[in-house]
Amino acid sequence: MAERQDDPLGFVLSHESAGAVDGPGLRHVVFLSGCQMRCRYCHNPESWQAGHGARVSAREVLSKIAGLAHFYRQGGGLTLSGGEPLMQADFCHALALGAKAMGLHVALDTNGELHGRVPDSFFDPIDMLLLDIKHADPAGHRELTGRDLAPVLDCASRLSGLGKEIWVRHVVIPGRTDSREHFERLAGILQSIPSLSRVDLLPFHSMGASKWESLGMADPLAGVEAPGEEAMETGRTILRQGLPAALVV
Amino acid sequence: MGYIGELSVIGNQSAGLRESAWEGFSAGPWQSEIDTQDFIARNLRPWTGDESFLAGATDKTERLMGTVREVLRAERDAGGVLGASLEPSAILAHAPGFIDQENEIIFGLQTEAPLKRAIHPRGGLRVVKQALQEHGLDPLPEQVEKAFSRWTKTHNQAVFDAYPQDVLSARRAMVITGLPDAYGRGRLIGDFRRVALYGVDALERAKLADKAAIGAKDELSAEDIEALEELADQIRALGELKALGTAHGFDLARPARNAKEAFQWLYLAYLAAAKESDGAATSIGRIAGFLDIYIERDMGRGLLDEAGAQELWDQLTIKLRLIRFMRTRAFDELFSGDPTWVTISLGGMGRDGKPLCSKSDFRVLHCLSTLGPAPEPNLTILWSTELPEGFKKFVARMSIESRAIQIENDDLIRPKHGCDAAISCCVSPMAQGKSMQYFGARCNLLKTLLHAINGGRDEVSGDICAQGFEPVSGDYLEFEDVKARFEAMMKWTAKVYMKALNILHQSHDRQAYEAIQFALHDTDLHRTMACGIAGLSHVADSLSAIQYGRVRVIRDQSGLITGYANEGGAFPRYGNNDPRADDLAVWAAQAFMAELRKLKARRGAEVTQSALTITSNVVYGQYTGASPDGRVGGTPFAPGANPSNGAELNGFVAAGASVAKIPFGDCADGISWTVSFAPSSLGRMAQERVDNLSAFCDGYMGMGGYHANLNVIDRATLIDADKHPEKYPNLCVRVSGYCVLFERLTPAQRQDVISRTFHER
Repeated sequence: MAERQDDPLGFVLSHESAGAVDGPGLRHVVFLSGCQMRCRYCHNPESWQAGHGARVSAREVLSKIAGLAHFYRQGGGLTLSGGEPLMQADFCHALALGAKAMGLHVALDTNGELHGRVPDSFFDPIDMLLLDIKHADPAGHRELTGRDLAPVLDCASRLSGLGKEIWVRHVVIPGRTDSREHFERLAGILQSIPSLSRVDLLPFHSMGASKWESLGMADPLAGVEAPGEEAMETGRTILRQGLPAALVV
Repeated sequence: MGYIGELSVIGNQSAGLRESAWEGFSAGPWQSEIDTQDFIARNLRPWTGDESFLAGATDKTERLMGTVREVLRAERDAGGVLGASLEPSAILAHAPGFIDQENEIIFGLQTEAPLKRAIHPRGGLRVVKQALQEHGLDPLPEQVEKAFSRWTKTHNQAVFDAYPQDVLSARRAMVITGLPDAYGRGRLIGDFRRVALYGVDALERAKLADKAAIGAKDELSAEDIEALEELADQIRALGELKALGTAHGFDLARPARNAKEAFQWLYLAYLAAAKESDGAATSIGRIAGFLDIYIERDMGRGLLDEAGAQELWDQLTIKLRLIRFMRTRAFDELFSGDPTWVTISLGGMGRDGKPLCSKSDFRVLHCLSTLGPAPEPNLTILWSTELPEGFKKFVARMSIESRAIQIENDDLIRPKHGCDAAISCCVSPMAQGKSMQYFGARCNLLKTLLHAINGGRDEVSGDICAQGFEPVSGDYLEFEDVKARFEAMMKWTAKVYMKALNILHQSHDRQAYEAIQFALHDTDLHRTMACGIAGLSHVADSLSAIQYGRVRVIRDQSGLITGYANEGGAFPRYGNNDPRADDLAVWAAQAFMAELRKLKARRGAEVTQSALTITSNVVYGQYTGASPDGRVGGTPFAPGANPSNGAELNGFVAAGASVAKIPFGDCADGISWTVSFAPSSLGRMAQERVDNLSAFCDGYMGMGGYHANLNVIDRATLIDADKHPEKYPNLCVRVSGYCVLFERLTPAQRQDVISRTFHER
């Protein structure tokens, strides 16, 4: 397929027409392939490799969304997710612009690290950021994801400066991100994001060895169980104390 | 329309009684002619707030509910049927029965005791005998058996006397099935409200006048004579309704004077219908706003408070939950879990853009909390995008909590049926008291396609069902060729189907006439002949496989095509908002409807069709061979207009958008979609789930979606409930068009519910 400048091509893993956990309201979620992080609890390791999925033009994706836009105008919108959507920045930008033209609210679901690759104008058609902060400690972050924490935090402060609403998501993993100290450190980080409005603490769930096996990999968190409700509540309580203005769920 | 004011037979005394019963209501045309809708439009107070005004159950209700729970437990322990009364049912059969008279505020049961079932041998003697035997109950007394075999003809007997050969073949091959030729057709809703508003005497006078007008004609046609006889039945039934009132200590001859009487009058009218007929559906209609007018008046007079209002609804709901009919195992396979379809229609918009949801619409839903969840009455919301947000959110919340709610598109129904429409059974819209339906169950459209490919031979038995067709000769299916064969076979099937329906409804009108229900309808009625189709998604996906894949046929030794292999890779499937597949579903529904429209239905009935299977999708699948979409022979169809299990790859919005494309104009008897969401798929917080479900319903309806059975539940819960039913005695799920206790489904039906597409994330 020939690529036109105003209609870039990209790789889409899948569509979720009824996303209710990726930003406010009922949303269309486009999952883009490719990710530079190697999170040990990743649910979709098949999304890591760039160039996976269907090669489609932005216009094709937008026409799919347009047919359903009616559903997304009642407090919902479009979420660009992945993989890491910033791996396909031009494609993402075209999708965000197109969705804005339909009158949709646009959210970018990112790990933030690659924000330096795009200019401020990239964020013009984007209303909010769903930022994954994987670990509150630089060394822990590197161990868990293989990448640095600093650019993630830079992204948060840059987008806050641009006035974009931010929701942070953080996965609670027993033995790694569930200690009091960890939650306190996380609260400290989050306090420095002025446009933060919500924090979702998500319990770690093992996808089971089979998914990793099918990709020819060993499950690095084999044997780790989901956190108990007590650990989740501890985390929520600490974050609520530290972040009175944000919704912590 | 019956005029009640101009008749000389009205005495001054009864006119006076009427005026005092109507004191405080806004005057209008409803006072001089029977026009319940006008009464509601002038008097209903819409409620645009939220649910915070609601009250809990009263002590009386709690005590009554305690007894009811014991009786329900006894019924379950007895294997589902608590016993039968062997006196054939009729309006005046059985002495008045009570649950716990001291705590009951609305009187009346179908037989002398709660949950003791009545028998209706007028429909068919064999069915009654079989049901009694299957449930291990006493056989019919000899006199009863003689009465319904030697001395009169039953509906079932009359139908089979008349069925011609092609109908019998199509029935045997299960191309046409589920027909109400051995059970009551239901699908009519008496306007029970008329009894409360006008009293029976006034209704009787109107019917006498209608009868006199026909009788006065110079010449009488066969139709006139039929009408005269039916009106006589109706008038007799109204007299019996008054006697039923008297037996319970009430004077139904006059209008109800307060809310409690209005509930009682309306309920006894409904009860008379349930005693007279055993229609598969015995819906009660749109009663909440009507009764709310009486409640508001009593509250204004200081006679009733919120707890008292909720008590009336709780107690009526208890009665409706106890409605039972005696059914056979064969019926249970088609309509599993002992449903009665006491469908109650709530919400909707009025003629002036005013919402018709009253506080009582909230109270009806609140019964799910005060009494706990239960499958009946079948709670049906006439959903309009214009409804107040407070009501939409309450519906969404109760739906998530109970899985006992279905929604139907008021914005589609209103233009066709007006602002006083109600749903009968699952999805059938009708103007209450002004239209009724000849229920036609459904035709197996997928089997029709398979017969088309096999030249009229049945792919399971190998028998010839339709004469005069040639089978496909090559090894690969060609789209245009199959389409032309399918069209020809649809023509044959439609013709045979309509013959069967005309026969059975003539018989039903004569042998099992629902006199009290018709007495509560206008004499000049709009009728529909409601046909139906099953297997729509498999037809669409099969056509798509043939068009976009490469489908090879597999023949057995006799040359019969019994299997298909797609060698062309993936093909688009209905349920992903992909026009390539969705357009084929639309085409199939329209093409069959076009054939049906060419045929004449009895008594000038408008021909309609539904895409609804109830739970017969399992049985239909069992008797249908493999299909070109890859469906394995003998496995269940997707229910109603649902996409095939597992076909939806893009979530429920895209799936709903596909279903919403099936045009209401060509499926005017309803398009059913049963959707299952994992709670987590609707959001992380309770309020988010409510908001998202409500927004989704608005979006789906706004796109022209007609119906949705909303199930918010985890698949894991259902799997556990299948293994340990004792842990989940009150677990409700919605199947195609009704709600059922999961444990009451057959094992095959439970598996089907579990293997549906669940939208989860």
